[in-house]
Amino acid sequence: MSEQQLTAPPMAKERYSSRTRWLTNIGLVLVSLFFAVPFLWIVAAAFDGDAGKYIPWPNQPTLDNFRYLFDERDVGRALRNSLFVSVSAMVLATVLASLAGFALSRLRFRHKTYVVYAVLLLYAIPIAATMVALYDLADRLDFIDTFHGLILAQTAMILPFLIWLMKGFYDGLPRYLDEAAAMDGRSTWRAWFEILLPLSKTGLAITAGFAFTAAWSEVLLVIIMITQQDKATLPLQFFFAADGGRNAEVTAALGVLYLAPVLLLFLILRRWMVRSLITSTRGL
Amino acid sequence: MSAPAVNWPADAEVAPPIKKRKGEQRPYIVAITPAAILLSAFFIFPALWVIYTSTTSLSLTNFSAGAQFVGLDNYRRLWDNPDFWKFVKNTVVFTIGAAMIGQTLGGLLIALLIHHAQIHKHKLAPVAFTAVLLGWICPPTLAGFIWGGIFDYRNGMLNTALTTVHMPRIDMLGDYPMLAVILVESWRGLAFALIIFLGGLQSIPNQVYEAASIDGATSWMRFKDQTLPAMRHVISLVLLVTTITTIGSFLMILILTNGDPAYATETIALHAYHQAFTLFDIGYGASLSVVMLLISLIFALFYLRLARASEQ
Repeated sequence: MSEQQLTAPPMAKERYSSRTRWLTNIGLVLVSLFFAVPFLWIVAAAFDGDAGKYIPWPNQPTLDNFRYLFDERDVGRALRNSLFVSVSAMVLATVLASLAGFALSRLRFRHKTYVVYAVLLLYAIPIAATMVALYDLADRLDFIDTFHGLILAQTAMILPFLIWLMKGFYDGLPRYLDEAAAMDGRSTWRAWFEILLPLSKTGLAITAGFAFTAAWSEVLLVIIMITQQDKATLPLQFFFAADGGRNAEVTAALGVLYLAPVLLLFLILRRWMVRSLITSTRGL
Repeated sequence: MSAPAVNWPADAEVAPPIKKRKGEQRPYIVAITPAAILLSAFFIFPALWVIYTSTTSLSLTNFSAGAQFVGLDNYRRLWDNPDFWKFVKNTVVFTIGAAMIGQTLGGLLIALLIHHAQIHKHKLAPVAFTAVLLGWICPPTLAGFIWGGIFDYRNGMLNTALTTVHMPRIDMLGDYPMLAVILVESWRGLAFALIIFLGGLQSIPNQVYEAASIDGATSWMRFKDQTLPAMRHVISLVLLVTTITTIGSFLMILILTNGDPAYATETIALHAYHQAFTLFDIGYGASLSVVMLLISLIFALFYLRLARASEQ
């Protein structure tokens, strides 16, 4: 008996056969292709003079699709509208979610777990079910065709998830930090603002990232609340282009403009967004 | 916690919580109020509105005059409508296919693959991970449009690829429309499941597996006896979230098939949307929405019980 067998054998490394390695690689390639190839098509189509053939690279490379969108379809205005609405919703949602998340993290009352779950359960009320009610509400509040109405509605829609995320961040910052600050004579507000907020900077950035992504992509509330051409946002323009669908290459170009900002933001924030999701779910 | 680089000691390790005096919770209640108002206005109020309206004969023709209370008449009409049962069936198939099989089971399998690849330092592991995450940021309408281009019978990417390798064309949207929408919904939503599952897998200490393989456990036994029980809580959470989002999701279907052919992919959510835009029979449409709310809530409560049970 050799001495090696008596000690604990090192795992994995020795038994990792080249066959398993190859199978794993093939699996990874298939997964990557399935998830990434659709994006290659839309990018290729956007820069193609005739995307009717759906080939994986541009047949007649051109920028005409984008030129047409800006010259004839007023996409510049839609982009500005979208940017204004999404950034406003992002700021508002991040502020409200961090306040509510802080409160939910620090408040003590019976059945708190149920309230936290209930916030998440608001997602069980899909907009599809409440569309007419939302229209009626927006109509009563004179929110139709206003940006502030749209901003409030979009903020509300992403709030449950963001509150839950921010609560996770504040749960990770121990209570004694702000309690000690409060004992030094600060108010709860100042303790939050001066001690906790600087510590949750990453959390705020991630929350803002999720908020912007959600608000930028959201189209249903825009369909419900915006009727005027000059108030249209990019998601709305894309919705009508894709729904009526005539020339695929122009719609594809619009789709690329729709996707580009969130893609960029995502590539920057990816690592933190992923990690924050994991830590927040551990708290449940 | 991704924010601070500092590893703060837990509250319990340092000091017992300070006893709160009466009224000291007030700032927290003020902090939560704006969010509570917005959530009530845009979630609770519309839900109550829909429930109330479903018992009236509200429609465009009597909007200003005021609607009559009709009790459960709208629900009776729903019950008697053969199409309604088709929508229910479609919703159930779509939810089981996309949420439970596609996103949860598919997400678990891909998570196991990527976790395995990460342990063995495959260079492709981060590539595959990022690729899956891409689907997640794709807005639903865009996903519908892109996959419409892929599934197109005459010129679609899929059939172009199939004919180049001399295989017969597939009419996905005509012959297998439900499979097509399930596939696309899974493509779009799988990232959430993957992230949560990867987090769960990474939190299982390695010693657990090492101990098991010293006992001579095969990988399947290790998966069944160690991984799965450790992941129970995480799995029920993913089931909860994917099911809720899938039941309410219809924009992708709207663009990809619009419920066609012959209502084969018309789910309750999509039909509620179609119904809302006729605005003719609002009370009737509201009863449809209530059914959808009920299905979502039943699923949600069921999984919450499951999650709580696994905690004990």
